[in-house]
Amino acid sequence: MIEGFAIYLLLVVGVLLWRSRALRGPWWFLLRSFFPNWKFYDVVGHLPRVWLSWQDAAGQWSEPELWWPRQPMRWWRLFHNPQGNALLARQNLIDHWASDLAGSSVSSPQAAEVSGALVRRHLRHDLQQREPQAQAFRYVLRMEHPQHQGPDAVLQVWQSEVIPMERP
Amino acid sequence: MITGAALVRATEILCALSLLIQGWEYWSIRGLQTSQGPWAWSVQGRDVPPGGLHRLLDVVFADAVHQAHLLLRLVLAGVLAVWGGSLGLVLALWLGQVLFMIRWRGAFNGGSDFMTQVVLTGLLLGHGLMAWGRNDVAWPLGLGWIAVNATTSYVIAGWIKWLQPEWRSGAALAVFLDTGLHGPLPAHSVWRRPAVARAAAWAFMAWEATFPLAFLSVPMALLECAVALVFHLLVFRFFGLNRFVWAWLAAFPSVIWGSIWVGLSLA
Repeated sequence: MIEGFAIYLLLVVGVLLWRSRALRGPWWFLLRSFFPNWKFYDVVGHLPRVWLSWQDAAGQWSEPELWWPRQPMRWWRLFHNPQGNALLARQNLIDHWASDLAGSSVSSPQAAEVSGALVRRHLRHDLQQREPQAQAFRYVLRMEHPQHQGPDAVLQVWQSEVIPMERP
Repeated sequence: MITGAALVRATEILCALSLLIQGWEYWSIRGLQTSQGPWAWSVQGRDVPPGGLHRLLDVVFADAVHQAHLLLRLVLAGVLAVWGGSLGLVLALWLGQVLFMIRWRGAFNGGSDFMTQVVLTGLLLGHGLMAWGRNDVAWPLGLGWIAVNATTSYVIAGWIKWLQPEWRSGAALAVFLDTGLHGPLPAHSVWRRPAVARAAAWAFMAWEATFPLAFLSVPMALLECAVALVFHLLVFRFFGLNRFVWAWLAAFPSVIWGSIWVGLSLA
């Protein structure tokens, strides 16, 4: 048991030192909590952002709106913050989708298809909660740099077709 | 007098508290993971290669079974808090954590899931080696694993930031605070002042990168953990990451244990 653990320890250190992107495959992605890299908020770079617009019952399209996790601060949420964490998980999903589309994900080559389908379901679900009268929606994924100005500040990497809302 | 047994028990209680907070949140948003919800397994499960394991996961992640698992996990966390750990109990929680990671595509809440995995692995190692009859190394390895990972988490986070010019100038602080769950910062926030942002960024980078000083003595470990708690509360204040507070809190008794172990080894 101790020998097995020592091998695991060496593997964790190896993954930390080695470029973890070199390790690809669905199980590396799904079980990555065994090999944490502890890099949080390290690099200021392009952020994947989804902008969504929807069509109302009169057929009018809304202005594109940034679908970004926001929540008013409440101290009691230190103990219970399901909605805030669900919003953050949605943004993590969008981040992974952007990585998958760019081909830089550690997951499988077909991961972009799964990520994209999950993002679409999330947007439909959240829009249904917020705008029950919405008839259809469409969205774009942009990589936006918070500091840059000029042509590389915003790069549009994906655009959806018009998606009708599904009603029971 | 702080004893090893007390630190093991403190780890179990704090880990259980973290799991109860996580479990209550998972239960509150269980609708997101039903077959009709946005995180439906029928879609997300395409990540998993076809085969016997996939078929097993189809059963485990069926709506009723998954929700029963959520409730069972709350009960198991309660047992860990009240009666303490055993090999079977900790193994069940550890396996459940692995299943949750798969169900949330690797992580629901990033680093807090990683640290929860680390703490459960440390407890599993300790109880596993005790059951194996290796009492001499059980908790030095179990708590040591948690202490090393907690320390690594701060040191790497600090050094990686230090390598970036935007962090050294302090400019990164306002950029990231603007993107936080509770952001953006007000236009006249004190964190937008370059001198304040630079001082705060350097203070946190220096504290993170020098976290191993915790192992010099028990008072140093208590001081480093107290600063860490303030740091995590600030992260919650601006980024809404409540789970990080509880996940790392569960690792602090191991850091204190590490400072005692290093002191005894050097004496």
